[in-house]
Amino acid sequence: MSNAIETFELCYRAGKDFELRDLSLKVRAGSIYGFLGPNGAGKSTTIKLLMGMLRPLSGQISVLGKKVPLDMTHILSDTGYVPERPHLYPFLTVGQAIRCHAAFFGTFDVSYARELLETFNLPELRKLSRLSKGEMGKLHMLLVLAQRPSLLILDEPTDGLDPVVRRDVFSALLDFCSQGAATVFISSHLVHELERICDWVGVLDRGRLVAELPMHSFKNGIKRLRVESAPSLIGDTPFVLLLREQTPYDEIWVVRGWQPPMTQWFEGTGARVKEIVDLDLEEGFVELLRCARVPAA
Amino acid sequence: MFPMLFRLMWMRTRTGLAIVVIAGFMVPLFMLAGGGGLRSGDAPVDAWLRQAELMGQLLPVATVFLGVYLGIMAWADDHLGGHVYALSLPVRRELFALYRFGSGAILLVIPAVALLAGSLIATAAVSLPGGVHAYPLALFGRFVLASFTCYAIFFAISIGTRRAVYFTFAAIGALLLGQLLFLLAGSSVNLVAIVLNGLTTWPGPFEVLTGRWALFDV
Repeated sequence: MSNAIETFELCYRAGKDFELRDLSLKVRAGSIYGFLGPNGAGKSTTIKLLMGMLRPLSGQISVLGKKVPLDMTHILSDTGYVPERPHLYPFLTVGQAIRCHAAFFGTFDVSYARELLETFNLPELRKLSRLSKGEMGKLHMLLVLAQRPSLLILDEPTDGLDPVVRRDVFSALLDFCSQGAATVFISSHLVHELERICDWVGVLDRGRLVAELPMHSFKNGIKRLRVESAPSLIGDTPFVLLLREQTPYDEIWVVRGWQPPMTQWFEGTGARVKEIVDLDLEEGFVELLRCARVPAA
Repeated sequence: MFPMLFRLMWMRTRTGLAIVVIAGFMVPLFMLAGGGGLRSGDAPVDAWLRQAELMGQLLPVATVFLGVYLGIMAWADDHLGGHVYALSLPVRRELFALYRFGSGAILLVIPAVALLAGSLIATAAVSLPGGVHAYPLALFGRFVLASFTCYAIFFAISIGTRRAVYFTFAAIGALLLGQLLFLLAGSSVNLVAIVLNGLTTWPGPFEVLTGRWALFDV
């Protein structure tokens, strides 16, 4: 199994305003895949489709080498899922929630759960209805990590959490990943949050996959160039031209897959690169979305 | 998995169950009050039986409460979380629903057993007037059947989607609107009475709730 998650031309529609179109994702086994997108892009919908909670209009989904929704029981027994909103039974205490969760997962590691309980400093006897948002976030993470799953699907697991809790949650996640070969599929709209943990990134916007690439390409390959005497027509380029904007004196090009020797290509066309600006991840993300939206505008 | 789901259901409903258990145990004892020293032929025997029958009217109320309470509580917390937790567990959906239903059905028996215990104590505590008979087992059976019927109906309603709930309310609304139109047209047709009658007379599902809920009878 080379891909832990694979979707092929997945389509889903929710009302008149939103649809996922021809979504084809490939999440390599053992990778930490960041699923980025602005609010309302369709990240949670995609995750619900992967979890078999929604039925697609068309397309195919395979998770851990098994078909969704046919083999859901097998898939879920080896998948840890943290949803966007808390979903545990509020009348339980922390300890009871752990025992409840353990009853459904044969691989649940009680001693690891105890360890995480101490690491996260969670009050075992407190009812879930009385937990803070941060404590609830940590409890969700505890439960799925102690399952020791092959696949973790995390839907904005740190949304609304303070930086300290966020750090705790990510530390535990990275510890877990370092212990085995689990695949992590994590969605977020906070780009910088995923920067240090993900090795692959998929960018979703308005229900369409805008880009899917290794994190290092995403981090280093998106540049903003200031080009003088730019050619009006361009043929094959050694980079991906995302955006081209005219200014009174020159042009701004946003490109992906940039390498320093590529300046020669401009020289060959009679143009000159006056400035190369490294975009940080967030700027790259914004440019990527801007480019994706240009044809629709 | 079933023991855990049963435990969850027990934890969620034990307070409400305790109320029905106490009621189920006490009602037969109250039915008994005043009947111990009566003999057949005494005029007060009739009055006492009527009083016992009146007390018995509390039992269908208790069964409806029990069935509605367990039926709704079975899914209340899942509704709050959008059923996401249940759907993320590695259990087939129909099996999960069956386990949930089974948990509630087993819990129904607890108040019924309390009623049986109360009834047996009540009948054993007095020497009944001649011609008066006690039916503790029949009452127990009726209580189980009635509460199970209510539970099954409200379990099915509460497991339904929001659309199903809207559909139910729309059907009730249509019934009331139809009745109003008949009234405005000066017709004597009573739609509401027809429907209620259909539900509460055989083979209507609520037939078991009607009639006499008597522990003692002649």
